[in-house]
Amino acid sequence: MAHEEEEKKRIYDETASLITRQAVMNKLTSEELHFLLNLLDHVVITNQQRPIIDILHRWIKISVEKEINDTIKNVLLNTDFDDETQVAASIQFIEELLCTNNEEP
Amino acid sequence: MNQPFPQSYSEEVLYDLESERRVISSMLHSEEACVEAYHVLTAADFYSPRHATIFELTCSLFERDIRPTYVELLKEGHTLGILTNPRDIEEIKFVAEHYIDDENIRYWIKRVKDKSKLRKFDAFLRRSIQILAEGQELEADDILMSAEEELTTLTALDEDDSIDTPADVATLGYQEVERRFLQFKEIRERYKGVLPLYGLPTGFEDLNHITLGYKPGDLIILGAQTGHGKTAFALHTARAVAVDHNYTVLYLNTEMSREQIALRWGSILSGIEHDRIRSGDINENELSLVLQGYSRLRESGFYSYPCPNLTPEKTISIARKFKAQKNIDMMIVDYIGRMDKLDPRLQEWQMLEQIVKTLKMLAQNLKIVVMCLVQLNPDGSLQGAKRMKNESDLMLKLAPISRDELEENEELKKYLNPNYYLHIEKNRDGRSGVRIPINFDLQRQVMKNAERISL
Repeated sequence: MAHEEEEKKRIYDETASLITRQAVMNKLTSEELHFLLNLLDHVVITNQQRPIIDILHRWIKISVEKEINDTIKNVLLNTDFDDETQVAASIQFIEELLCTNNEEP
Repeated sequence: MNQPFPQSYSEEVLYDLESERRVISSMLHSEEACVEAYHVLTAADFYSPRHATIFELTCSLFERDIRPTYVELLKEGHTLGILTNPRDIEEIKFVAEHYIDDENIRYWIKRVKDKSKLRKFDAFLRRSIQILAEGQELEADDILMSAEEELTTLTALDEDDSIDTPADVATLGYQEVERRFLQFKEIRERYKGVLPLYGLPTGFEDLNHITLGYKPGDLIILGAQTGHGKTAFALHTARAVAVDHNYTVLYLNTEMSREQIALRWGSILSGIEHDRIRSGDINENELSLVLQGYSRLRESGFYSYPCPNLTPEKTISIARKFKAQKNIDMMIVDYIGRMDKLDPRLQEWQMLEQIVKTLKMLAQNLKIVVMCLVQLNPDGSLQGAKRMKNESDLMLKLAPISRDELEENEELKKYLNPNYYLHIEKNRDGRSGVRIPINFDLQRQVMKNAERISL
């Protein structure tokens, strides 16, 4: 295994362990754990989901109301990453929510 | 004077945690390793209870066709409440890091299995000493007999093997006959004498009648010359078993592409000529018929695995995987002459013999029906026929009926358009030497018993 691949695998394993540790210590719910591990799989293993990563970055940078935060989180937790149509619809919906938030005074 | 029996010995003789970790880790990295370990080991073979749990989790994912990766294991473990503290995660991570090449997996599995056997031997010794220590009046012959039985199980037999006593055989035999008697009686009363099948449907009424169906553990060999319907027969069988009766069939094809196999089904299930389906020369109504046909296939138990480089070893691996994940009832190998030989020094007949033996062993171990297709020589003979016949439970040959025979054979004139014979060369469970006249519509890829003309 090339050094770069080894390093990638190490980071992948470490991240997965870190996420699961949070769940074991009750800092994450089971749904949150599954969402984060699925996301990790898609990003590292299949090297997909760039658009969803981009929207997550945007979400972090923008300060939004709690209600919108909760809605976005709910949408993400209920998105099946293996269903491309669902992923696209979720991204679109989150984008709209973030825009709505920006437009408000 | 004899030395006293040692009270204890190094416990490390009885376990090898390194091998256990290597086996599990390999399962997390390679499907081949999963297939092998799943088939050979059980959770009880692991000394460490934690390893046994991780092994069970891994097997459970594998059975559900979920690739057992480290992350999937974490998800599953958390969902089932097995991961209760951070140390559990560290342990799985530690195990996952012991990755090894597939090449070595059998070695590490054997190490785990051997240690498991030694632990059973240790338990046996302890029980034996306990019996002596209790100091009761004992019958030496009884003790030795019981010890011998236990040791035989440890050395010669697998765990699920058992020796049938005369009483066992008699009971089993009577139960089988009684069950069939009652079933036959019920069928005769309810269905006016149509014989029940004890195995999978063959797709031919006469063959059903003679064989009572293909039974788990059976190896069926079907021989035909090039271009005389081997694949059509295989797919006809698959249709009867997987589409019409919803059993699960794994179809291994060594010479056709995915598209070619899929297209054949279009013709078989719609009844439209294959040439027209292939060229697209059909009308809209026919397209609708094709769609209906594929809807039936979609709901069926037919799994196709086109693999041009099939070897006996790969066949074992694929069959075990599909048995574990899809619980297949039947595997069809189309055809064995195209299988690769691993040892180039083997003659053609030696290779065929080796493959057929492997397939028979698979059928028995996995309790499935295995059908393999072989190519007949231009004179209708079969290379290595005697050895193949020995291994098979049912040996069939498919051959066209000559024009001369059609004109001269009075018996054939009682049938409507017979053009092929299905010849039962060997039948371990019943009549053989029978030739069944069938109608093979080459264009529609459909086969059926030739109908008798009613007088």
